[in-house]
Amino acid sequence: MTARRNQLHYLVTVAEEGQITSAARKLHLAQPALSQAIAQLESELGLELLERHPRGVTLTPAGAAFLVKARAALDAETDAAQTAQSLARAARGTLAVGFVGPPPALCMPDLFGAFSNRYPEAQITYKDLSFPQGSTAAWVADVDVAVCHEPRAEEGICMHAVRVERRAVVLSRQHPLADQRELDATQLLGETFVSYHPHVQVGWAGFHCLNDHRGGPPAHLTDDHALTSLQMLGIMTAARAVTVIPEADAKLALQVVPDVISVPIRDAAPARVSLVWRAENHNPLVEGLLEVAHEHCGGADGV
Amino acid sequence: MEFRRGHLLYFVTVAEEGQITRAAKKLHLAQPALSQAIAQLESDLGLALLDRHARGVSLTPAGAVFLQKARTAVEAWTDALATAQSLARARQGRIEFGFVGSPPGLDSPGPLEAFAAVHPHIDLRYRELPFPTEPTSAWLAGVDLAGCSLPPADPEVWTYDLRSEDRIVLVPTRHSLAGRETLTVEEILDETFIGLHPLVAPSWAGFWSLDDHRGGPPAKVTSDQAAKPQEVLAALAVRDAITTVPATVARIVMSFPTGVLAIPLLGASPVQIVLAGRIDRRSALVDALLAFADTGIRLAPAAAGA
Repeated sequence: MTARRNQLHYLVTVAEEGQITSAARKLHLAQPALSQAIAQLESELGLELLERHPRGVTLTPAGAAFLVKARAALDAETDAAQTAQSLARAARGTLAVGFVGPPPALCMPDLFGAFSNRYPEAQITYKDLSFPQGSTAAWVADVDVAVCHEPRAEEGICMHAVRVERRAVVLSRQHPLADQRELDATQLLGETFVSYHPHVQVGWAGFHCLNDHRGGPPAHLTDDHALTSLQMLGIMTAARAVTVIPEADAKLALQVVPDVISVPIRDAAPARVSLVWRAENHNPLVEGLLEVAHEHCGGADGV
Repeated sequence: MEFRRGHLLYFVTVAEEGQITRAAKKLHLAQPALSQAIAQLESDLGLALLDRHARGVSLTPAGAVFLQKARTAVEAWTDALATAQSLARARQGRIEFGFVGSPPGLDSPGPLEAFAAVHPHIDLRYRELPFPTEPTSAWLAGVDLAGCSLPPADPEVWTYDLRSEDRIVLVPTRHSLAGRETLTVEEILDETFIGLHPLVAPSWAGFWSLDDHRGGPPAKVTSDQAAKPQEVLAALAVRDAITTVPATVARIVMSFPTGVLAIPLLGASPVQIVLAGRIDRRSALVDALLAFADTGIRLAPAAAGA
């Protein structure tokens, strides 16, 4: 019995995609190589895992039973690796900061400046995160702390708001609403919004589309399926649709994309730009950053 | 990042053994190869996991944190592979039938022959299991079901009552109790009992030294740390100590020249004999065997006494 991590990862991907072809694309493998790897796994285990149909593959009952365990094994190994990396960063005095949108040193210069003064030996590495997909815990597992508006709340996930501010709509300078100083959420609900990838957390995508004010998704969405903030910026340059982001982020975005303008939304529920980390973290610098945040930004909720 | 093959298991084994030498023996690896693999793991992770001392190794604080995760990952891998093996057996029409002490074929040949007649395509293979360790689901990971005295309860394990049996006292032939026709619980509570391995589930171990009647462990146990029925017999042969067993086990022991006598025990609560297995190993084949048990052709009740 010699199943390898790769083989299990292939199986999980094929099961999720329901097709060898699209799984191969996702794994950056040639389709015959992937088919062969799965066949090899089946032969090593003495099990048929997949049923082949003209339009794709489905799991056999044995394949479904095994997949649950295979996924658990992969997740446990990933968790071990991420824990080791976090411990290694702590040992080196490095703090890995993930972010979505503008880099933290730009959007929160005070906080990170004060942190560097307090911990001159500490190294900060920044990591651009895609929008949260799946569990928040898995999403932040590669970094010690993330800076972003609030992802889905979960057990084991801690958040501390460092900025509570208005949301602003980002729209083309040619847009009829572009000359307003402020807008009401209701004026925007019928607009065409930039669409998010279907795997992005529902609450996260809804934050950018004002779903919380509409009570559901917009009637008109683009086909963009955005996964990263850089992709969002790219879409904004085409000026086909609007999106809603924290006001301070919008101001920074305008410097990069000159053809758009941002207008604050008077009555939208505010954005809570937060530090997000796992309760089970092993890096004392996370505690350090939080302390600085408490002293520096106080209770951001009072803003 | 990815771990190199075997590295997580190597680290967990070294951490648990507290010595590279003993861990290497357990892993069937040369000691230098294991030392090198651990050093490689530490270098891959950029993390010191072990402190090396003259007499062994100990975990660094970071190593202790990592051990929890590494152990979980190793267990999840082991579980995935054992599940695949169980599914493959189901496909091939094979049942891995575990037992403790008395082989099911000796214990109840008639019903198993009848089962084989009804299901000639199902291949039963018997695996002797050590005494249960906890959790019971981990103890049963390698088999599809097992026949044994009731193991500690576990939400991931089903059990099926077969019968209850009397507990019988096993006594070495040169023991002062050897001449007795019967014994009562009160007469033997203060005897020295054969000591079982510390990893054996405490409730299981205690049952055989009558802790349920005494309200606690015996005052004296031998230093044997027996983990299997054969080790208990080996210990009885050389110790001035006793133990109790289910009646069917006593009957089998008495049919071999072991230097051990079986004496009926009066007043002890009976032993519950069950079939048990993991819920996630419950294949159609296991169900066939249980349905068979449901028809009323129970595995043969043991004759009272030996």
